[in-house]
Amino acid sequence: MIFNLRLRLAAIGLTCIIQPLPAQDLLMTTLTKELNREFGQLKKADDRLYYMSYRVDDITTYNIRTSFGAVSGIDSSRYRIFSPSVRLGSYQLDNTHNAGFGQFPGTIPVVNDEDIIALAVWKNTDNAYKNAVQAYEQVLTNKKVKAAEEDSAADFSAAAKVVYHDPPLLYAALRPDVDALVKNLVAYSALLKANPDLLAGVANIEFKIIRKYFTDTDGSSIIENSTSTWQSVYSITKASDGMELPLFRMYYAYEPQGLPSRDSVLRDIKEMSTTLTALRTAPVADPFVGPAILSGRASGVFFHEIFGHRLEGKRMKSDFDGHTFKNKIGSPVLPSFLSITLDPTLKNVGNTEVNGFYRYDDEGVPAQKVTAVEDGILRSFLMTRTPINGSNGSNGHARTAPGGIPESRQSNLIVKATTSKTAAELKELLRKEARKQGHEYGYYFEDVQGGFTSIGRTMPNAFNVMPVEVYKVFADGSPDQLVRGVDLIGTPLSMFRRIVAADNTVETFNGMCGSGSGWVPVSASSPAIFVDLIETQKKSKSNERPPVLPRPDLDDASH
Amino acid sequence: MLKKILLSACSFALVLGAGAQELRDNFYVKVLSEELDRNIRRLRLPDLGKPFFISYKLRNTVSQSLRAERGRIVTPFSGPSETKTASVKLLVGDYHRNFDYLFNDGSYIVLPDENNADEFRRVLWLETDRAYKKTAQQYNATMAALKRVTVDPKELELHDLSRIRAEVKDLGERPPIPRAGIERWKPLLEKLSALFVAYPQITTSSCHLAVTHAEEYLVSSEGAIIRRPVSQALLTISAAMPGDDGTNIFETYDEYVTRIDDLPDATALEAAARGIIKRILERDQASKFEGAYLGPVLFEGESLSNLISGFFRYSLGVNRKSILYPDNSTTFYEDKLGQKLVAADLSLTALPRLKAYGGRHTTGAFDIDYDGVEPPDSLVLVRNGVLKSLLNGRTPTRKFQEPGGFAYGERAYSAGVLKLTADKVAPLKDMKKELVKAAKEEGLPYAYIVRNVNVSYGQAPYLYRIDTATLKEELLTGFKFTNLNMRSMRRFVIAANQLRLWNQSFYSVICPQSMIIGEIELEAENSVVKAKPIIVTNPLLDKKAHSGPSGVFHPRPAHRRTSLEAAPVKTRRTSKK
Repeated sequence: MIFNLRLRLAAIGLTCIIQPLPAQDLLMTTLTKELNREFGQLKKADDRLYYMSYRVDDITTYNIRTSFGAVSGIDSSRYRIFSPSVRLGSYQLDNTHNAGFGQFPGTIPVVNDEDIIALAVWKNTDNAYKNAVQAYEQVLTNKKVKAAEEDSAADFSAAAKVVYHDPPLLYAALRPDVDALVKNLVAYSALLKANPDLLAGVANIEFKIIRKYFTDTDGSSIIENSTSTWQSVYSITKASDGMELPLFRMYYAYEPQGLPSRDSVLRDIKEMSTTLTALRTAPVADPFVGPAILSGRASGVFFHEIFGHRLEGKRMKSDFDGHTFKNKIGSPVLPSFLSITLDPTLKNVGNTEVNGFYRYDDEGVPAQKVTAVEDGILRSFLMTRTPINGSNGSNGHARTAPGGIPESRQSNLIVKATTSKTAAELKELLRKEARKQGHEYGYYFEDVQGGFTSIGRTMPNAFNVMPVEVYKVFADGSPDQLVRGVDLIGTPLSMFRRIVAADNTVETFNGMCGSGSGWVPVSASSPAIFVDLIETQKKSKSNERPPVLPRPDLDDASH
Repeated sequence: MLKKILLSACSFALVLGAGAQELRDNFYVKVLSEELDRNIRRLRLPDLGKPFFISYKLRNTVSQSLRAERGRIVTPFSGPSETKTASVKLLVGDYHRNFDYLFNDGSYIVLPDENNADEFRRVLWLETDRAYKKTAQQYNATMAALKRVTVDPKELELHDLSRIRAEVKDLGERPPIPRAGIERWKPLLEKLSALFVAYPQITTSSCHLAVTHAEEYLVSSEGAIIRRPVSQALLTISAAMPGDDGTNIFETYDEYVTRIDDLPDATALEAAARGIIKRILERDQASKFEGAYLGPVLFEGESLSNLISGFFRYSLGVNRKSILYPDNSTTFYEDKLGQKLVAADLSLTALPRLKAYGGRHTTGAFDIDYDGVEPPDSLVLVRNGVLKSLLNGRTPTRKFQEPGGFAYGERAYSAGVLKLTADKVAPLKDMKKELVKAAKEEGLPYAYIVRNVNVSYGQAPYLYRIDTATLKEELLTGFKFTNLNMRSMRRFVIAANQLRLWNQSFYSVICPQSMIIGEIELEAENSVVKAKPIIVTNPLLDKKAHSGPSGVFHPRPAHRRTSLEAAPVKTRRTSKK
């Protein structure tokens, strides 16, 4: 349900969603009661049933969108996603065996009525149970017809019972100052309009309030609140060869008050706008093999994509996974000056609010700091309640988008270097290495829009980090040159060996990570790194010409 | 006298002129016109055809909805929501050859909430640019493809787009949403939805009110400038319960009106909700149809209007034959003009401008069509069973070269209001007797009545069997119509002598209150697959059982079934032909 705030903002505010506080607990009471009733009856009917859990994500959003100084839309929504989990068989082997799909989430009306909630839960649970039965039969059949799998660990493990209830949300107090946010966003996107080279310039904000409910047949009962604010500024221009050149600035904070000041955002946008103009006429980079520096943000994405996804334990249960690190606990996997932790208990890294914080994961396990790599040595994986050979027990990294099946996912990834250099020293290293390799230049990757990697066995185990702002750093000390059309590619194991040094400034990339269990909030913090050998390829590009006519507001002939 | 006439003519012209100027000064018209003007003048790539036609459509909509379940409002935000969208139509070539009827990408753009001229024009600019490049590419490719086929010269002679007299018309702004919006409906929706609470076996129920008010703009390079208001409100009451055999027994009541105040009063809506409850409970206990039937069936009320709409709403429009590809799947009714289509006692007329009938507003009426062409007041489509005309727009065909004014989208046509009349009629109260008479003439012990139920996709969920000897009626489920299509109307027997208006979504049917059609085929529903019943007992029934007996409902004993094994078969009465 989306509600347009603009028309009714002053009149009604959000009175509809401001529930009496005890009403927020009615949902948990009803969920627990219905879970016990369902489990009791289903268990009598089918003694293979051994575990059930219910998860509800009660989500309220506020969205404000502006474009070139005009308000595109202001709206708000409130919905509840219900995710039942039903396990048949035993801890050793159950219907979830190697299943990445098959969750059938439902919705629960946003109303405080026990009967309405119970009916929705009842119908969805029946669906989930029937799906579980079908899946379990398939698992048993697969066991009979297929060769033994490489991983013989159980499908599920016990976890300590947890009871934790955040206080009811005070929705009225959390309601953002929409007028103030609109004013800022209008100013941000209007600044982009001032640049005649830009085809579009938007500034948006999404403020999300989530109250998550978890209850299971082991007696756990968790209610956790969270908020998140994403402010994004996006603009795009087009080169004469058709290449689309987008740039983004993303700002994350728990609440809108935590966003950077208006002046600092305006400064960022001005700089972004200038870069976009420069990109239009920047030369297209040719494929290259040689040295490069990845800025802290670029490096954060690099480690998230190339390293982090290969630490996700649950996926290693499958024979289709690449198992890059599966049997390498205790072995060196990175240069000895690097350590990596994943810590969902952190709300800040330095002064930056980070997006991967939570108290309990989506299987009801407390979030825990995981030291994945210590001085280059692999120590641990990100684990859910699904063990793998050699790693038992969850460390609180079972995560999913609302409605999905929890998988091992990253949280706040932090790269630390025990020895570090200044940015200038790092750049000098790059120049020196370029000279050594006989290149005129190396690359500096300033900013990236994201990346992806293949972790299976069918396709090459490669990665692609998608930079949007790249500079040639010349060996002879000439000024850096902005280039366009570059993707950073490679294969993980060879790339890790080439990391030579890091600088002494940590930068954070807050983002959303999309994988098997959907989009989850994550962050990656890292110093800039110097890699003595990277590979680039040309970025795919549109061949559509730029628009024939000038932008209407700049077309003198039409005024 | 002459002076008086001249004076009044002058003042009339002045009024018209002022209205047109006011429309031209409208923010949306101005923005659309300015962007359209520079594009039609200057949009061109070297060595590529330039656009000869551009039109912009803009829809400015405010919608509001409210939903109640079991006595509670479940819509978190019920305030109005405003959306503005636009679409661009751009043609390359000329009126004779542009292939308009072959391509339509159906894309539309979302415009900003704020009325900011620069931003509106920027979005239109990018979309027009995209449309031009795509259309020019398609035009050249199709011209090239045309060189490899031989086309019937008569088809080749046809223009691809007919010329029109461009209208400048302001038919009114978006109807205002009442100050209280639909908020004042909350208590009634709560009350109606609370009627289901006493029936815990009904596990899904809701009352939903949705109101849409919009204004649509059309500005074209031909000079058309049109604004027209659009409004519709829909109240839906629906409920479902799981049948004992796994079937989902679903009932719904829809009321379409042009304005919220036209909705039935509380008493009528309460009766509708109670009717749903009664029918659901009856259907749960109903016998199953068995065997097969071929004979007369009486269609009553909404069932008949659904049937007529299903047969004729989308079929009586012209279809242009492709000059590129053979098309064996389309029925070209144009080739059947002058031929008998339905029974000689039946006539069909399009009444697109009819705003009200029997004291109620029609939801389908329009004064100007999708292309900006005024429709006629009426058009006889079928007279005495013979096909006389078809609905058309700006795509010429051999027999319809002039624009008809019935365009309802890209290559879709609508009568707006379709009226079906019958020459052979009987009083409404005698229709059941007529049915029995018709059945007896064929020696049938039973006949069937489809009464006020939604007939969608040619099927109804239940009907009534009437014993021709005792006139006793019995509700039956588990059947299907076979071969029910427009041709069935050739077996028309008799209709009630009173007509009634039935509103659907932006479409209205005026037809007899009931009609008997002979030679309707019925068969037992032969699906061998049904969903398993829900295994765990209904939580509301459990709650009721634990909280003591109720005066309203006595729950069935909870079933205890093992996993996905078959549910115990309930012995049912069966019905034979």
